[in-house]
Amino acid sequence: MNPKSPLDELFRRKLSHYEVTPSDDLWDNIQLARAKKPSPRIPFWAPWLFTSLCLATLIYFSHDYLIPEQAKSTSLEEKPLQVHFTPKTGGEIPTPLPSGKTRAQSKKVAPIFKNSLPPQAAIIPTNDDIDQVTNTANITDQMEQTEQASESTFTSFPNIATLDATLPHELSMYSELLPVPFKKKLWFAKIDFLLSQDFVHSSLTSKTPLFDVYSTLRNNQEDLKVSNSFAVRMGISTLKGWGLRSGIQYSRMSQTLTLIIPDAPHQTTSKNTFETIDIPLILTKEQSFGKLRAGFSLGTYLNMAFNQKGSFYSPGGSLIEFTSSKPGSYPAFKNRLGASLYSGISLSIPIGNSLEFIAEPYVRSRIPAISAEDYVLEQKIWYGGLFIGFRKQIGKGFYLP
Amino acid sequence: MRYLNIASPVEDNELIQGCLRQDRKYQEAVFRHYAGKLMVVSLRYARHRMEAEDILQDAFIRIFDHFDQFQGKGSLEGWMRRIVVNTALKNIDKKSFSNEIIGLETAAEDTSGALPSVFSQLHEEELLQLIQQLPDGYRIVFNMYAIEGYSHAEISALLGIQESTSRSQLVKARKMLQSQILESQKVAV
Repeated sequence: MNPKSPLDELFRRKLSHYEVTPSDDLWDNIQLARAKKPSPRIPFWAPWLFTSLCLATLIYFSHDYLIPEQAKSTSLEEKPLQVHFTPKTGGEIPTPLPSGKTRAQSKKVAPIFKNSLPPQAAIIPTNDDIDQVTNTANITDQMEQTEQASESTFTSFPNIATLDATLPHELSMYSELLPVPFKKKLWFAKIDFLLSQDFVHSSLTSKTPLFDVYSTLRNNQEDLKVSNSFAVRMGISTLKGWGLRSGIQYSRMSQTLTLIIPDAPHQTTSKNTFETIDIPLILTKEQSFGKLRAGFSLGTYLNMAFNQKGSFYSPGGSLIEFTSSKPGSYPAFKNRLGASLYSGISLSIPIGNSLEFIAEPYVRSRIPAISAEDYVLEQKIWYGGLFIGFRKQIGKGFYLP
Repeated sequence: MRYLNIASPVEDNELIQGCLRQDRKYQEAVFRHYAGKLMVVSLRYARHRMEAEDILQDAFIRIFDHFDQFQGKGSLEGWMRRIVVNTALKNIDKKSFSNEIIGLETAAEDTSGALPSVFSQLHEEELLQLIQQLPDGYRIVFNMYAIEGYSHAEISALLGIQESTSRSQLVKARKMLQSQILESQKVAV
C-alpha cells in the first residue's frame, strides 16, 4: 500500500464514488466503431506448422508404398551378384532365394553356422568388384543396396557369416570394402552451409493484469518480424538415414514499428534488431525417393540472445529505447541464455560429386522469453522459415570405433 | 482491494457471461452500469470533456473486444478501470514529464501534514477541475499514484520514465494542487 498524504486521501475518497454521465450518443458511437473493426488475422506461422505436419505425416506413412514391390524383389534377386566373397573350396553352395520368399522364411531353411569357415576360404575381391562399390555417383544409395544384398548373402552363404573376427592381415587393407554387416555401422560425415529467411512471430503477455491492455497494444504493433540466419552444421548419418547434426548459427532479427498517432501529422517509426547465436543439436531421419531425399529434423537449439537495439512504445505512446549496450536504456531485454525446440522437413537433391542442394522448411520456438525476467511483459517468439544451402559429404564413410 | 465492486457478484457474473457471448444486450447493460464511474476516471486523465469521451469510447471498444481476457481474479469494475487508464495513457506525450513549473522545482514531499478544513468542503466537481488544470505529467502521475494506487515502479514501467521522475512529478502535483486550493479560497474571501 502506498503511503498516502491527506491530500491524496481527500481526492481518492471524494472521487471514488463520483459519477458523470457521458453524452447520449456515446453508446451508438461505440457500436458503430466496433462494427467497422476487421476480423482477427490467422497467425502467420500457422500455415507453416500445418504444412510441416502434413509433409511429416506423408513421409512417415508413404515410406513403404513409395518403393515398388517389384523393385524390392528384383533387388533381392540381383544382390548376390555384388557379393565379394565366395567359398574357396568344398561345402554345399545353397541355391539363391526363390523370389517372393521372405528373409524370415529363408533363415529357417538355411540357418547360420558361426565360424564354420576358415579365413583362408575367403578370396580377395577383384578390381571389378572394387569398382562396382567405389565408382558410383550416389554412394549412399549404392551402399544401401549393398547392405540389403549382404544380408541376403548371409542367408545364401551361411558358412562365411562371421568372418570379421578372424580376418587375416592381407584382407584388412580392404576392410573398408566389406559389406556392412561384416563390420560395425557405416557412417557418413557431412557438412551443411545454410542460409535462411525467417518470419518471427512475437507474443507478448502481461505478468500482471495491470499490463493486459498494454500487452494487447504491443502485440498489435509488433506482430511481424523478419530474421536472416547463417548456419554451418556438421553431421554424421547412417545408411539407414538416421543422422545427428550440430554446428553454429547466427541470426539477426529485424523489426520496423510504425505508430500512427491519431491527428498527428506524421508517423513515428523505430527499427529494432535482435541478434542470437545458436548451437543446434538435431536428430534427422531421411529416406530416398528416387533422386530426392526427404525426411524430418527434430532437435533443440542452445541459444544466446545478445546485442538488442531499438525502441518500443510505452503505454503512453512515447518511444522507449531498450538498446542493451547503451547505458541508461530501459532494461526490457538482457543478454541471456535459452533454448529452442526445432522441427523441420529436410529435402535434398544430389547436384554433383558428394554435393547436395538442401531445402529445409522449419518451425522453431524459443522456450524462455527473450525479454528480461524482471520486465513487466513476457515476450516469447516463434520462428518459421526456409533454410536453403548445400551439403557436402566428407570422404566415403567411416566406422565409429 | 484497490477498487470497490458496486455490483453484486450475481449481477456481475450474468453480465460477464452475456458479454463473453458478445450479446449486445448485456454489453449495453455493462455500458449503462459502469459508464458514469468510468467517465470520471477518463475525465481525470483528460484535459477536457471531449477528450475524456474519446478515451472512454476507445476503452469500451477494447473492453468488449477483449472481454475473454477478463479472468475474474478481481472485480469487473477494477479490470475496466485499468483499461480506461491504459487507454488514456496511450495518448500521453512523454515530453509531458519533463515540463517544469517555475517555483516548484525545489518542492519537498510532505505526506504527513494535516489539511486545512477548507479542503474537505470542496465538491467533487471542483476537485475534478483542479486535477484537469494540472500539467499533463503532474496530472497523470497524481492520478495513478494518489487515486488509482499504482506504485512508482508500476508508473515507471507503464509510462517508460524513471521512478525518480515519477516521484518528482507527484510532489510537484501535490504542491500545485495545494497552491490552487488556497488561492481559490483567497479569491472567495
